[in-house]
Amino acid sequence: MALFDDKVKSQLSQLLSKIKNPITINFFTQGMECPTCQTTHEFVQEIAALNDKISLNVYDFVKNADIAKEFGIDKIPAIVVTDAHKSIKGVRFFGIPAGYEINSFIAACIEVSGVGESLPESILSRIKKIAKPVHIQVFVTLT
Amino acid sequence: MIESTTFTPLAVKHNVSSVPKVVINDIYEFVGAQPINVFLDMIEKI
Repeated sequence: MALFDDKVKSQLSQLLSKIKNPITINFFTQGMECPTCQTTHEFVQEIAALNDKISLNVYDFVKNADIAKEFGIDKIPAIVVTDAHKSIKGVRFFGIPAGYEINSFIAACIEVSGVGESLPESILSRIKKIAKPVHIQVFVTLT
Repeated sequence: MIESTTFTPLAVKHNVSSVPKVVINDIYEFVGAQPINVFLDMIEKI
């Protein structure tokens, strides 16, 4: 059964039409999929089908352990959105970005496609000065 | 983004009770949406 009905599909299509350059959704799952992995798999398939500029790569967390490591994936289901050059921008989604989180997911797709909002110079200069690795985890629920 | 229900042990480790909860380098944390300078204030303490 489809996750999105026709009405939602058309709304999502409209949002995704803002995508400028091609993007790739890299999805990490495993052979015997956990229930959330299955749902997330359907989710990325349905999203990728909505826009020609979105391609989908499905990786096996176990068999493609080297790729998982390269993308910084230590748990599944996980999604990494990359641009046409397959460059990793650092945004990772662990678990299904459903409910309100679909907004963050769509926004990430649009941003990675090259439609970035520029930051004020005062903020940019602070970001440029960061010398140590930074790991930001944002915990959410789907309610 | 980490969906807390899917990764309960990780959420428990970081005492996630209200969301969104932001954890930076496993040390600094805050709850709710905050302006970018709040993130930077914490990052600069690392």
